[in-house]
Amino acid sequence: MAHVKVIRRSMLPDEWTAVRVRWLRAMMIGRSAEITSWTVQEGRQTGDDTYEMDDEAPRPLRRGDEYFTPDGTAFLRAEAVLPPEFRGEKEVRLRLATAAEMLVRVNGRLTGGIDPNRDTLVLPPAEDGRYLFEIEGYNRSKPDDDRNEDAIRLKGCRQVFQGGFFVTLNEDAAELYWDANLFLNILRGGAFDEDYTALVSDRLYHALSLVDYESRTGLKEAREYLRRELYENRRYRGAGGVALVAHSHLDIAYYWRRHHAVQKNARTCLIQLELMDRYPALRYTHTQAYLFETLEKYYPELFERVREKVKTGQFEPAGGMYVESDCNLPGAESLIRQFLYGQLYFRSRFGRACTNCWLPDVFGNSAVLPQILKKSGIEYFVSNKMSTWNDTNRFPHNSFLWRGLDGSEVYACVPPTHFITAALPTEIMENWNAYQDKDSGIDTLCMYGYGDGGSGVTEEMMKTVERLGRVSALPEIRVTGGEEYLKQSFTPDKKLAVWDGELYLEMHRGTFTTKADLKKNNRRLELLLRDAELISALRWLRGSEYPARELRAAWKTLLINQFHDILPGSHIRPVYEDAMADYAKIGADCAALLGPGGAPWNTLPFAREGFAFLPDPAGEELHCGERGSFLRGEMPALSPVRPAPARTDAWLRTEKTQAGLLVDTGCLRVLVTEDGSFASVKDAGGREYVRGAFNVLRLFRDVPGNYDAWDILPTYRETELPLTVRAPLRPEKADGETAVFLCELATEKSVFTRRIRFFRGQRFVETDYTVSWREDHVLAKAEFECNVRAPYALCDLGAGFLPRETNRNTGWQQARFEVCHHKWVDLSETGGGVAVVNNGRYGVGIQDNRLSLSLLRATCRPDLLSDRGEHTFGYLTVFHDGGAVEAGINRLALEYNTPLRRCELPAVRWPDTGSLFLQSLKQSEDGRSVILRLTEQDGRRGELKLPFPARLLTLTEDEAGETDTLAYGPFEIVTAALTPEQARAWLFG
Amino acid sequence: MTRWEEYLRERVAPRVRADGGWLDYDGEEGRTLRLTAKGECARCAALDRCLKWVADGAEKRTGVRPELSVTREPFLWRK
Repeated sequence: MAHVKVIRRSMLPDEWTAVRVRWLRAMMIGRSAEITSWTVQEGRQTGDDTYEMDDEAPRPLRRGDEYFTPDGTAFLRAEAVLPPEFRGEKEVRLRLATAAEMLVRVNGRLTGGIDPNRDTLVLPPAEDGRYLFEIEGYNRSKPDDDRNEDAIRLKGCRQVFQGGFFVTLNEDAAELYWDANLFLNILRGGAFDEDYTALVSDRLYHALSLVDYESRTGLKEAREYLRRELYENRRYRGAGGVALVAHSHLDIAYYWRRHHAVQKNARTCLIQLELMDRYPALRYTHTQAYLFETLEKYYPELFERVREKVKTGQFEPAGGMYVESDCNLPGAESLIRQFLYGQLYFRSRFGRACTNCWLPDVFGNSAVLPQILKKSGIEYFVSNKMSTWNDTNRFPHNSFLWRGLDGSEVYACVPPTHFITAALPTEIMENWNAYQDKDSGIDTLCMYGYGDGGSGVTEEMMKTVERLGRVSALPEIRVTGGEEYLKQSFTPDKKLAVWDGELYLEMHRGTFTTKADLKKNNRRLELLLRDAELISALRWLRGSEYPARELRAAWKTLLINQFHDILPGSHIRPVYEDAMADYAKIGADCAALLGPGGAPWNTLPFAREGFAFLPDPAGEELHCGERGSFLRGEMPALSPVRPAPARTDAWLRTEKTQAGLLVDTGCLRVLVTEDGSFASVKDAGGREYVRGAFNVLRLFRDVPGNYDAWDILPTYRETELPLTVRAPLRPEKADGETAVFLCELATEKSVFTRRIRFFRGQRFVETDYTVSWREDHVLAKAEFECNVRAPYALCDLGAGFLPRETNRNTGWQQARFEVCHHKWVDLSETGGGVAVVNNGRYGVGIQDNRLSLSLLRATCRPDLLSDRGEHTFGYLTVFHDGGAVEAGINRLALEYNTPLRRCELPAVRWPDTGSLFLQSLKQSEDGRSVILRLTEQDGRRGELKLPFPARLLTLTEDEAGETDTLAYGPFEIVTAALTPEQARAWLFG
Repeated sequence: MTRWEEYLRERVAPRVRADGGWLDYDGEEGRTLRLTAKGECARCAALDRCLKWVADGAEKRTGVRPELSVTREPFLWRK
């Protein structure tokens, strides 16, 4: 007889326990009376506080009716009188089960929030028992993250109204449920030892058997049994210590648009405030100055309540930043502004700045960050991502010192588990078990509270937290605030490991490339804003008004769009459209500030050599999609340009060969094949720079799975897709300065037009793309196999550079198959090398002698149209002597990314600042000084003599000393304040 | 562009996209309106309720109630 697998159909004791815990949950509601006077008026939010209504007037809403629409906001209203049987009850609640997010006003006052994680709120007493409920509900829509299983059955853009009720709690059932749920979690979580789990299994089973679920009796007896048998059983002792910090992660945009975050934030704050009144032990940590700003603007009453709770220490503003920015892609000045505007806001509204940077969800952190933190008053850095999301290596520390590019150190806390927990025993145990710095003497940090779209701590979590100290098998629990935990834990006496360099996240590598338009515009606008501010400051010194308000507004809009689900591209379509509209406005505002006229002006703090691009709609050159012309001539630092007359003499020789077109510029001999790739590049001395496929366009199948927009898999090279040459290389134009050759490559759906541009007298070649991109799940890369042997490549980080190894020796190098860089990457050996300088690309792969620049992706989640459409971009391939520093690659990259502006100003007498780049010249935030921010870019140390003593400042523009000699170290950021008189005398004479 | 198509493109699609979903107009024949559900709509258990809302809206706008014929595109897939 064949073996028949027996499927068990009977219930195990622990399953019976779980069923009865669910029954207890249902028993928590005591009295219940339906409110039947609900009306609803539906609409759609169109701005922070504007709506377009679908319904002209409210309509009745009855249990079983459908309500809410996709992206819909529903306004519910009901007037009701508390039934007589509720009078005299200690506490009456409104119960409304929904998957939406609701902000509830009761009798005109914001009273609480209802969302997928909570379905009741405690009602304030009302005269005569009369209640007016006014609810603003937003259709919650984060599909991949339903942590609360009760909400799953309710979800959908169009929901079924479950009714609204006056209810009371059956306190005995509720208290027993919270006990039982805690022990059920221990029983099922698998984090506790076998003996203790067996004890809990047995005692919980027996406790629940003391209850009669029909008559609802035996509840007190069951609680007493659990107290005696489990809470008071001290034979099982936990080790270690865990600090619990309440927090709610709030994505400003993601599966929702930015204006929805206004309500999400208000609801989150309101819920926490309400809980604080009922649970004084609750201390809650909330981040992002922008969110506080919106609360202040749109919910001033709530904001004042927050301020009161900040004074009592229960509500803790944290993080220091304007928004929780991505920390790979933004330039250094953007990161500085995050802290400048963030800290100034916190200080102005709450009396003090933050001491921690709180970024639980950010996709890796640049090595430039520690210095910016340190000089912005931030001592502690918190991020959960590396410990919980790395796909290859286990990040080796949780409590450590993080050392940045310049050597600055901050205390770093990378909690071992996710930033969203319910403070359940298993989560706490897992946190402690995973904690790798147990011997440091620092307790591990466990955040609790629902998040991503806000929500925060629930009553159930508070009930759990209250009980944790009585569970002997747990580590010692400390309920605290974020700042208190960090200050008390990270002290100089602790021996901590040092992590030197970037905090690379071994995941989400696609976010360096997804939504290329956002990246390109972010780069362009960072530099445009720099120039608009610089020229405005110079004009101010010459008597004009400084447009402080306009510049600050433009910066803040840019900063908001650097949020870690906006600039990285991990969002739905409308978020992209909002960002692009913002970018268009910033561009127009900056253009208005710069003004239309004047001479071509070099805004860089060094003389440009070679060519500079001047945008001009009437220009003859089409450069990366923009009309203009390349100018050559005298282009001193911070000065008008004196163009040289165009040359007409011959400088370029071409020769058709079997292998391709040989182009000889006098500086380079480049053999260009029909698809625009380079079979050979030799300098005047005959040094060959190519070894393999070079400047080759490649397409790879790119299907990373659920995290489509976020990830590129290490196996992406497995399937290469064909590209055909639709139009082989041919000359397009040539004059005395530049020569352009053009070819077209195509797939069935997409066309790449590549313009190979040579510049007279230059050792670089530009590849300029116009792309009609119609692929699905394809990654486009430009690859360069260099005749260079180097153990590492240098990657620009915007304010310094970082070496990245070219080998795949260990898991650490293998995991870094795609990394973030800014304007350039360079692979050099002693004597020479190759650099690739881009104008808006960030992802690059580096292996052996190959640089692989990511150009475009075509993901379909969360945005089905991500990146499809037209693209223009370019890069230079630079063939140079010496290393990147000697070859001036960084300056070239700044030139490539910064077009000439038009300006009426005369020349500035700018000194030679060597490797110090003038990152920012602006009016101080108090309007009294000129701020001069210099960043060392080459990894040198030195001194810059000033003609007078200047005040040294922190990045938040606080006093840090006085000097007439700016001494700087490698990659240091120096900020000084000059009086307008000093600056005028120094810069204009 | 037919009135149903206009309604789909201008009223329905932007709202559905703002919830991570996607409904494409695929054509119509008589009273049958063909749609493709993509993105989150492709795997939504409550899609029928939204489709009823689409049909209600189309009827309100045009006076004719469409019969919807909906294809769900596999999630994470583009044809």
